[in-house]
Amino acid sequence: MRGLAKDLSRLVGPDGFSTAPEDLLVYRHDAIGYFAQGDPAAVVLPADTAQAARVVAYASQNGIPLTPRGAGSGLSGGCTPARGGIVLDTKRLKRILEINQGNLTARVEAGAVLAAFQQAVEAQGFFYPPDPQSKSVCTLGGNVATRAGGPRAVKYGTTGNYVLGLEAVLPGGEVIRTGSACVKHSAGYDLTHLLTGSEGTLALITQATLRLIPKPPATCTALAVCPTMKMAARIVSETIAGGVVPSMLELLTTASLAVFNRFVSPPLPEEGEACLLMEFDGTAQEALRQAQEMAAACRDMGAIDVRLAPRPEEAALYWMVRSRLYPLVVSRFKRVVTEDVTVPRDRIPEFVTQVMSIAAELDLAMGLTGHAGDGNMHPTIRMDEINPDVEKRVHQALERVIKAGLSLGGVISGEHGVGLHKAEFLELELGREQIALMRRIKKAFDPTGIMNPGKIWPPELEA
Amino acid sequence: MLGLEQYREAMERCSQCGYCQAACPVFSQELLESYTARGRTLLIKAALMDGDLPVGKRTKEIVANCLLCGACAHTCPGGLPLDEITVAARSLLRPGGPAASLRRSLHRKLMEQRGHPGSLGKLGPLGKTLGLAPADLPQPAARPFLADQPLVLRPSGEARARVAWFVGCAANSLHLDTARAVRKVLLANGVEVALPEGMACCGLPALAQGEVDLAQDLARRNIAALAAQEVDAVVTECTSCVLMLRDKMSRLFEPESPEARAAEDLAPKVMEAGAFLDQLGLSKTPRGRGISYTLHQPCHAAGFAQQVQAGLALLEKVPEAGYRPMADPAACCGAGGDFFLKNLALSRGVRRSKLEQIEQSRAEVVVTPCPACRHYLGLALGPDKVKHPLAILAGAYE
Ligand SMILES: Cc1cc2nc3c(=O)[nH]c(=O)nc-3n(C[C@H](O)[C@H](O)[C@H](O)COP(=O)(O)OP(=O)(O)OC[C@H]3O[C@@H](n4cnc5c(N)ncnc54)[C@H](O)[C@@H]3O)c2cc1C
Ligand code: SF4
Ligand code: SF4
Repeated sequence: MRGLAKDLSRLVGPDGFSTAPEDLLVYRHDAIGYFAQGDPAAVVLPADTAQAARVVAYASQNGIPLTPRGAGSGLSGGCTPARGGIVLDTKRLKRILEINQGNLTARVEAGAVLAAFQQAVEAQGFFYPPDPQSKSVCTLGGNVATRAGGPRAVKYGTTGNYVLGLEAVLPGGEVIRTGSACVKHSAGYDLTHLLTGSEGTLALITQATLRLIPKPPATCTALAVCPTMKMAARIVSETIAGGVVPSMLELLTTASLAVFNRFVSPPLPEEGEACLLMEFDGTAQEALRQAQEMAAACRDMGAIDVRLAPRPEEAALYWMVRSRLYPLVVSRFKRVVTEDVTVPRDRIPEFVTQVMSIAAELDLAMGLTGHAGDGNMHPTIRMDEINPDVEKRVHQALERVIKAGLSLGGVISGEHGVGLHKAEFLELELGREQIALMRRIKKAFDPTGIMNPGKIWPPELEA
Repeated sequence: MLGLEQYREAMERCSQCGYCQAACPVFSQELLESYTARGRTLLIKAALMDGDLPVGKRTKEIVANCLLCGACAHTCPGGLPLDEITVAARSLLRPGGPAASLRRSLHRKLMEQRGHPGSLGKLGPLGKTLGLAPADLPQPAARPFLADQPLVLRPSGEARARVAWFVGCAANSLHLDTARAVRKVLLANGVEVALPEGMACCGLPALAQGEVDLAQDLARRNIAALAAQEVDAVVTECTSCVLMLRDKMSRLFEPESPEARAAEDLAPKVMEAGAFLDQLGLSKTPRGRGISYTLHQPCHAAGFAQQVQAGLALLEKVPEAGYRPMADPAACCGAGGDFFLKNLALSRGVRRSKLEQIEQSRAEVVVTPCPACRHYLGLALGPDKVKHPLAILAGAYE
C-alpha cells in the first residue's frame, strides 16, 4: 500500500489522491448504499487529461482495477469499485472549455457538473436539454457513460443524442479523440457512441463535444391529479398517440402530492392515485395553448384536479420537488429498490397493470413513477424491514417486472445503466450472441480487464 | 443536539443521493467526497459509533473540515440535521489535556461574562500572549457596548412597540458601530428597547467547538434573561444569534424538557432587527444620502432568508442608495465563524469567488448582518467596505 501511495504521489502530486480509509469510505458505493462490495485502495483526482492518462497507464501496467467515477450519483452500482483498486474521480476535470455559438456546440471536461454547464449555456441563449434529475451534482462524463436521460427525453432525447465527439483515455494510457464537432460524420466506426453508455468499462472519458440547440423562449407547466394509476397511464399513451409532444411528461404517485402540498395552495387532493406533471414549450402563446388543450383533455378523461403554472417561479417549485422525490422517498424507508425498465409508450397501460399485480401478488409496497412520456418507468419497491423473506420477494419482483417489460417490447434499463444492479438480467434482453460480441469488443479495448471490472455482465460471463 | 446516538436514525435515513455536494463550500474547494455531508456522516458512523474504523488524525481532520454553514442540511431532500451531527461528533472528539482545558475555561469566561467591562479587554490579549487565541482575531473594544447602557432605552415620544434586544457578542465587543446603529434606528422609529440583564453569548460558537454542555449553560442563562420579558419581539442584529435562539436552542435539550419548552416558547418571537423594523414600518423617513450596496447573505440565514430580505427592503427607502445584487448572494464567504483562523487556504479559496462576485456587482459597500462574514470579508476588502445593513439606514438619519 505504501508503494501505491508513493507511486500515486509521483503521478498526481500529494494532493491529487488519498489512500486513507477515512476518505475512501464514501467511494465504496454510489447513490445506492447497499451496492458496496469492494474497498478501494485509493481515490485519485487527476487535474487534467495528461495526469489521468498517466494514472490509467500505471493501473494497466500493474494490473490494478480502475473504476471511473463522476459524482457518484449513479443508481446501478456502476462506479462502485467492485474489485477494489483505484477509483478515478473526475470531479477536478471540470472546465467548460468552449461554447461555440457559431457552430452550436460546446466542449467540456468530463467532471463538469450538468447544472453548471446548463446554466452557462442558457446564459448565452442556448439549450442543452438532457436533464437527469440529479443535475445539481451529476457530471457530464457520468451522463455520457450511462447515456443518462430525464423528463425532457420525451421531446428532446437523451444524452446520447447530443454527444458529437469524445476525448478518452484507453486502458493502455493512449488518448484518443473520437467523432468531431461536425453535425455530420460518416468516417469509420462510431466509437463515440460505443463509448457513450459504456459505463466506464471500455475507456475513461475525459472530454465531450456536445450539441446545443436554441433555447425555447417560454414554457408552461401543467399538473393533473388522476383518481387511478391506470387512468394516468391511459392519458399518457393517448396524448402521445394524438401527436401532442410535451417537453416533459412525468408520472408521479400519491406520495408526491403530499410533498407538493407543502408548497402549493390550495392543496392538491391527496386521494388521487397518480399525478401527471407536464411542461410544454415554444413561444409563450404556443406553450400556454398546448397546456390548456392538455388540461382540457385530462379533465375530459376524468382527472380530478388540473392546474396550470404558467409563471416560471411557480413551475420551478414543482420541478424542484420533482427532482427531490426519489431521495425523499428513500429517506422514509429502510430500503428502496428502484427500477428503470422502459417500454414502448403504447404499452404503458399494460405495463402498469402488470406491475401492480406483481406487487399485489408478492405483497410488496411498490410505487410507480417515471418519465412516462418516453416510456421510462421507475417501479420502486419500498421496504420497511429487511429480512431474507423480504429480500427474496424483492428479487422475484425485480425479475418479474423486468420480464414483463421485455415481453412488451421494452428494455431492462432506460437510463441508469446496467452496473451491478442489472448484470444478471442483461442476457435476458440481449441474448448470448450479443453479449459474446460485446465481450470481444471489451477485450479489444481492455485486454487486461482493468476497466471497471464486475460490471454489466455477471462474473461467470467475464472472460 | 445531544449525543451522537440520538442521530443514528437520521443517519440511517441518508439516501446516499449525493445532492449535498451541490451546496458545500468546503467540498467545492477540494472536490474530495469525504468532505461532503454524505462522506462525513458515513465516517462519523463508522469511526465514532460503530467502531468499524479506528479514530485517527484523519477522522479528526474531516470532522473539523466543516464550516457548519448548514447549506447541506437545507439542500438535503430528506432534511437531515447534518450540521448537528458534526457538532455531536466534535463533542466526542474534544481534545483533552491541560492546554485544552485552560482554553476551554477561557472560552467559558468570555462567553458567560461578555457584558462586563474589561473582561474581554483583559482576556483577549492574555489569550493571544498565551497562544490560546489566534493573532488574526479582531481586537475587542476596551469597554463593551452593554457596559454603558441602561436596562431600558426609551424613545422620545410614545413607544410604538417594545422589544428585548439580544445584543450579539460581536456588536457588544467588536463592532460597536453596529450596536450604535441598531440603537439609533430602533429609537428613531419609536421602539422601546429592553436590554435584559444576564444575557450571555448565544452559544453557537460553543457548539462549533463541540462544547455542547457550555452551549446548554449559555442557553439556560439566555432563556432566564429573555423569557420574563413582556415584549412584542426579541430582536438581534446578528444572523447567527437568530439561528441559535430561534432554531437551535430548543434542540439542545431533551424534547419535552422544561428547557426545551421554554426555548420553544421564545423561538417564534425572535427576529432579525431589520426584519422587525420592516414589519413595524418606519415612522422616521431617512433623508441623508445613501450609497450603493450589495448584499452578502450569511449561510446561517438559509432557514430565514426572508428576514434578511426584509431588512434589505428598509434600505430601499434611503435616498440615492442603490442595491446592486451580486450573482449569488447566498454563496458562502469562507469565514464559518472562526473556521478561517484555522483553515487559511480553504477559507481563502471559498472567499475568492465571493470577492469576484462583489467586484462584479460594482457596489460601494457590502452589507451583511453577520459579524463573522463582515470581519472576514473586511480583511480582504478593508474594514470600511463591509457594514451591517442597518448602519446604512442609521447613516441616513444623521
Ligand atoms: C436522486 C437521483 C435522481 C436521478 N435521476 C436520474 C434521471 O432522471 N435520469 C438518469 O438518467 N439518471 C438519474 N439518476 C442517476 C445518475 O444521476 C445518472 O446515472 C448520472 O448520469 C450519473 O452521473 P455521475 O456523474 O454521478 O456518475 P457516477 O455515478 O459517478 O458513474 C456512473 C457510471 O459512469 C461511469 N463513469 C463516470 N464518469 C466516467 C468517465 N469520465 N469516463 C468513463 N466512465 C465514467 C462510472 O464508472 C459508472 O459506471 C439519478 C440519481 C439520483 C441519485
Ligand atoms: S455544514 Fe456547510 S461546510 Fe459543513 S458539510 Fe454542510 S455544507 Fe459543507
Ligand atoms: S443530500 Fe442528504 S440524503 Fe442525500 S447524500 Fe447528502 S446527506 Fe444523504
